Amino acid sequence: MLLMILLTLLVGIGFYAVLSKTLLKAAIGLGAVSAALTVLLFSMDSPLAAVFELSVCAGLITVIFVSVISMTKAAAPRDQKEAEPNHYLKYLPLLATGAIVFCAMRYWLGDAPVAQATVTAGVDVRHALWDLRGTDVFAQLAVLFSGVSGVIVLFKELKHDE
Amino acid sequence: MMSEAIVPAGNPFWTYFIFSVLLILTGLYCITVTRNLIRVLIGMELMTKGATLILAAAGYLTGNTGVSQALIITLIVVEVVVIAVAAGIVIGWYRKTGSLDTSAMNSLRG
Repeated sequence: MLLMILLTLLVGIGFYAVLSKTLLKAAIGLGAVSAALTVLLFSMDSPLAAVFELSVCAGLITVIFVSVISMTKAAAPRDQKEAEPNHYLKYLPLLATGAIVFCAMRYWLGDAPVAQATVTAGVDVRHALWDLRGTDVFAQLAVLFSGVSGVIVLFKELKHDE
Repeated sequence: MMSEAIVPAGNPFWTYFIFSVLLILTGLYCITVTRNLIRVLIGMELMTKGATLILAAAGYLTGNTGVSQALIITLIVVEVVVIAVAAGIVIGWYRKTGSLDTSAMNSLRG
């Protein structure tokens, strides 16, 4: 019964986020969807994923959305300027280094296929994350690295435009 | 039926499956209908919520919450990076054109 209430609430808030007229309400609705999903994850014996969902999705991503909405409302339309040369090619080595480190770690880990019995044994999340899905951890680092580089490049470009 | 051979009818998995598909369809509807860049990102987020729900349900119902949590954490990390970069692109586009309309993004139209 509680499960059905939570699932209905999840989809209902999702509808609200999509159908709300203002962007701010949509962003807050999305945060509420994450909060409802967090409760569901706790009820499904996934506390670590729930904590991640609450802190990152309900917190960080909502903040990002609200910031984007406020920045796109406050900024006035600007005149087009002449295109400037790319100044961000200097970040290319960083990406290359990240890719090389990632590949090196992947070879180091080996990441050999594990037996199905091991995977279906209901292993602890720490064991699953570090032993069974070790490459995922380094892939996450690589993705974070690329994301940070991307954000730096984008905001550097905005700074150049001003 | 093939699907019933894998997951029998009446299994609680189908409840989670239906609601996660509903979430994914809601996000897809949002992406398809809107022309606002921020709403496109919101739709994308809703779709990942559906994927998270089905992953967690699969782990819970099979007793493999360790693996499912590891996959969910990876999904969340990828999700937040995608949103951060997309947000930067949206802001850059808005400052350049003064518009959040996706139909105006036709610079690379062939």
